[in-house]
Amino acid sequence: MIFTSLPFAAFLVVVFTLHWLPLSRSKRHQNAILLAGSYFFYGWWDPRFLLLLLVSSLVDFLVGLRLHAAQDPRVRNRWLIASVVTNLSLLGFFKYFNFFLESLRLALGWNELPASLHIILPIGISFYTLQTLSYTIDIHQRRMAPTTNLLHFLTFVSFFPQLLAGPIERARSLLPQLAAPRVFDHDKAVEGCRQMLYGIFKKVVVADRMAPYVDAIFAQQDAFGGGINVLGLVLFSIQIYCDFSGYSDMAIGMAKLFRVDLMTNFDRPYFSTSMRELWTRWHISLSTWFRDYVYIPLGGNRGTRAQWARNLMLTFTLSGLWHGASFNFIFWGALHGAFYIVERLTKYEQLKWPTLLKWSGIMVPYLLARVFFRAEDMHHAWEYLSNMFSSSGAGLARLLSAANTTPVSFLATMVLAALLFGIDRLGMLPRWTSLFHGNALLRRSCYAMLLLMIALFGAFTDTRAFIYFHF
Amino acid sequence: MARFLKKIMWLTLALIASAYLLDLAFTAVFQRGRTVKAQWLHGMHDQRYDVVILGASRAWWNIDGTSIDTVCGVRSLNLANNHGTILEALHSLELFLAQGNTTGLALYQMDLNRMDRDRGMLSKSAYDHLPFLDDSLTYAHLSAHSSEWAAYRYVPFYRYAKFNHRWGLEELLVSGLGLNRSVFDSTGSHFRDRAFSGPETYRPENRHYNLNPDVLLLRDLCRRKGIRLKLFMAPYLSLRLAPGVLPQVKETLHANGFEFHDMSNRLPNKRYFYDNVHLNGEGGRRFTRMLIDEVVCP
Repeated sequence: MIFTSLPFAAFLVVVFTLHWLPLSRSKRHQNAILLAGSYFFYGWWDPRFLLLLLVSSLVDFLVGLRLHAAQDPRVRNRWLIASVVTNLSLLGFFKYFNFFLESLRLALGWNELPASLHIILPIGISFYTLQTLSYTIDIHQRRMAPTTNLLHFLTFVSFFPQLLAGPIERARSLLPQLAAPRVFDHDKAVEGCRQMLYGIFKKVVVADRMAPYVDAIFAQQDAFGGGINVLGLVLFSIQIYCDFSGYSDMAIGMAKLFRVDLMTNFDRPYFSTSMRELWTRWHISLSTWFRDYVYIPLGGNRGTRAQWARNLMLTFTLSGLWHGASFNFIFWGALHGAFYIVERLTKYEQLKWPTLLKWSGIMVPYLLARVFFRAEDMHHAWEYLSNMFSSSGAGLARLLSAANTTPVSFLATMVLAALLFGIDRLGMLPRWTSLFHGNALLRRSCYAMLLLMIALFGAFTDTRAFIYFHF
Repeated sequence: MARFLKKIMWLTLALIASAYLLDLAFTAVFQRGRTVKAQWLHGMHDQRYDVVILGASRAWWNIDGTSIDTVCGVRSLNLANNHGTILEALHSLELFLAQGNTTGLALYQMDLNRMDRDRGMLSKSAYDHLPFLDDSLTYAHLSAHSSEWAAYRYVPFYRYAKFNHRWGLEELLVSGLGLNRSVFDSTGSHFRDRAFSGPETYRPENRHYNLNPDVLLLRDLCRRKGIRLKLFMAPYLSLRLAPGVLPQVKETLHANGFEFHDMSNRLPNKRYFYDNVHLNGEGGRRFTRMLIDEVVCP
C-alpha cells in the first residue's frame, strides 16, 4: 500500500474521517485512531513485523521512564545502553546479519558460508529505530522528560505518514503535538493537500518515468557508450531526488491533514553550491540526526583538525552503512566525508567563483559518488565508472529500445524533469512566490495543470515502491 | 472543517467532469486510429477472407501474408499479437466474425508453453482493447477475467491515465492526425530483421503436456461457424526436448480432433533467426513457403 495507490487513498479517507468525526474529538480518541490506522498500514506490508515495531516501542517507552526516574549516572547509562543495544540488535540482525557473515567469509577466505539465513528486511526499521533512539538519548541527556502515556508514545513511533521512510522526527517535536488536543485547521489541511499533490507529481511523473531508463543503463552499462552512462547517472540523481523528496512531501502534507507538523526533509538540494550546503538541504532529518547523535557526541569540530576529520569521516561512513548493508554504501558515505573535508580545507565556500562554476565543482563529485549508491556492489560501481569514459557502445536508440519507450516519451520525461526543477528554482525567488500566493486564479490553474500532468504523464502501470523503502 | 469538505467536494466534481470529457475525446480519437491490431480489427466490417492466422509473436513475425495471397490466390489476414494467449485469439476471431467478416480457414500457431499453461489468461495485448470497452463482446470477454475492467469502463479516464504510456498524449496525436505507426503490413504480417541475440537452444520443460481447455473453445467456435481450424508449430532454432514429448503433444491434439502440423525443426540454421524462437525476414519467407505447401494450400 504505497502512497500513490488507490487502496492507500481509500485508507487515508477512512482514517481522516474517523479522526475528525465529532465523536472522536478528544486527543485520546484521535491518537487511538491514528495508532490503529498506523498499525493497520504497517501490518498491510507484513503483519509479522508489527510485533517488532511493538517490541521496539515498548522497550523504549519503559527505558524512557526508568531513565528519568534514575538519579545515579551509572544506572542511567545502563538503561541507555539497554535501549541502544536492543534497537541496534534488532536493526543489526534484520539489516546487517548477512552482510556481516559475508564480510566474515571474505576476511577468512572461505569459498562459501557454513550457514546463512534468509532474512527479510522489515520495512521502515532503519527509520523508526533512529526515531526511538533519539527519544531515549534525549531523556538521558535531560533534553526532555519522557511521556507517561503509552498511547502517545506508540503513536509517535508508528505515525503512518512518516513510519516507512521518515522524516525521522525527534520526540521533542512530535510527542508534544500528539499530546495536545488537535482542532481541525482549514489552512493547514489545504496546505497539506498542495504538498501531497506536488509530492505525487514528483514521484509518478518524474521519478517513475526516469526509472526504466536508469534500470536499463545500470543493468547493461557495458553495452552503452560513455555518454549514455553519464546520462544514466544524471537521470538516477534526478530519480532519487524526486522519489525521496516526493515521498517526504506526501508524508509532510498528509501529517498536516491531522494537524501535525513534520520537519522539512528536502530544501532544493541540487541548487547548492557547496557540499556543506547540500548536506543541510538533502535528507535533513537524517543528516541532523547524525549530527546530533553521532558527530557532536564524538567531539564534533572541537579538538584538533585531525580529530575533527576523524569525527566527520566516522559520521559519514556510518551514514553510508545506515543506507545499506554493503561496501558500496560504506564507500559512498566515506567519499562524502572526504569531499566535505577537502571542501573545508580548500575553503571552497569562500571562493569567489561564478555560481555555475561552483555548482559544477560540487555536482561532478556528487554525481560520481552516486554510482556507488546505485550500483549492486563495488565491482559493478567500478565497471560503471570505467564505462563512463568509453567511446564505443550503443547510443540513445538502444536505450529507448531497452527501456521499451519512444523518443517522444523520452523527450517528454526530460521536459517534465526540467519543469520540476524550474518550479523548484522559481520557488526560491520571493517575487514569484508572492505572485503565486496572491493570485487565486493563477494558483488554481497551476493545481489543475499538475493534476492534468499526473493523469497524462504519471507512470501508473509500473508503480514502484519508494527507493528509500529498501533502506 | 465544512469549508474544507466543500472544497474537496468541488474539486472531486471538477475532476470527475474533466475526466469524463477527456475520456470522451480520447476514446473518439483512439477508435479511429490504426496503430495496433485491435484498432484495425474493431474497424473491420463485412470483409471476406480465406485464411485468418492467429497466435502470438511466432505467428505475427514469422509469416509472410503477401506470399500466401500471391501463391495461393487467397486473401489472408494475420490477427496474431505479441504475447497473445489462446483466449485472446478466440476473442479476436469471435469479434472478427461478429462484425460480419468471414473466413474459411483459421490457422493457430501453437506454442508448447500454451499447451497447458496460461489457461484463462490475458496477456498485455488485452490492453490494446481499452478504447473499445463500449463494445459488448469485448467488454464481456475482458471483464470475465478481472473486476479491474469494470473500473476501466466505468471510471472516467482511469484507463487512459493508468495506461498513458500506451494510450496517452503521444498516441492521441498519432491517431488524431491519422499518422500510421502500425508495425504490420496490409495483411497484418511483419518481419523483424535484427542481429541474432540470446541463447541458441530453446529448452522447454520435458514433461507430459496436457491440453489447455481454452483451445477447445477455439475448436468449438470454428466448428459452429464452419471454419476449418489447423494448428501448427513454427520452427525453433534448436529445440531441446526429450524424444517422447513432441509425439505426446501431437497425440493429445489429434485425440481432441485437431489437425496439427509440427514444423518445429524445419529451419535448424541460425541465419534464419534473430533469437532462438523468432525467425528473421529470410527465415520467415522460407517458412511461409513451407506453410503454404503443407498447410494453407497443399
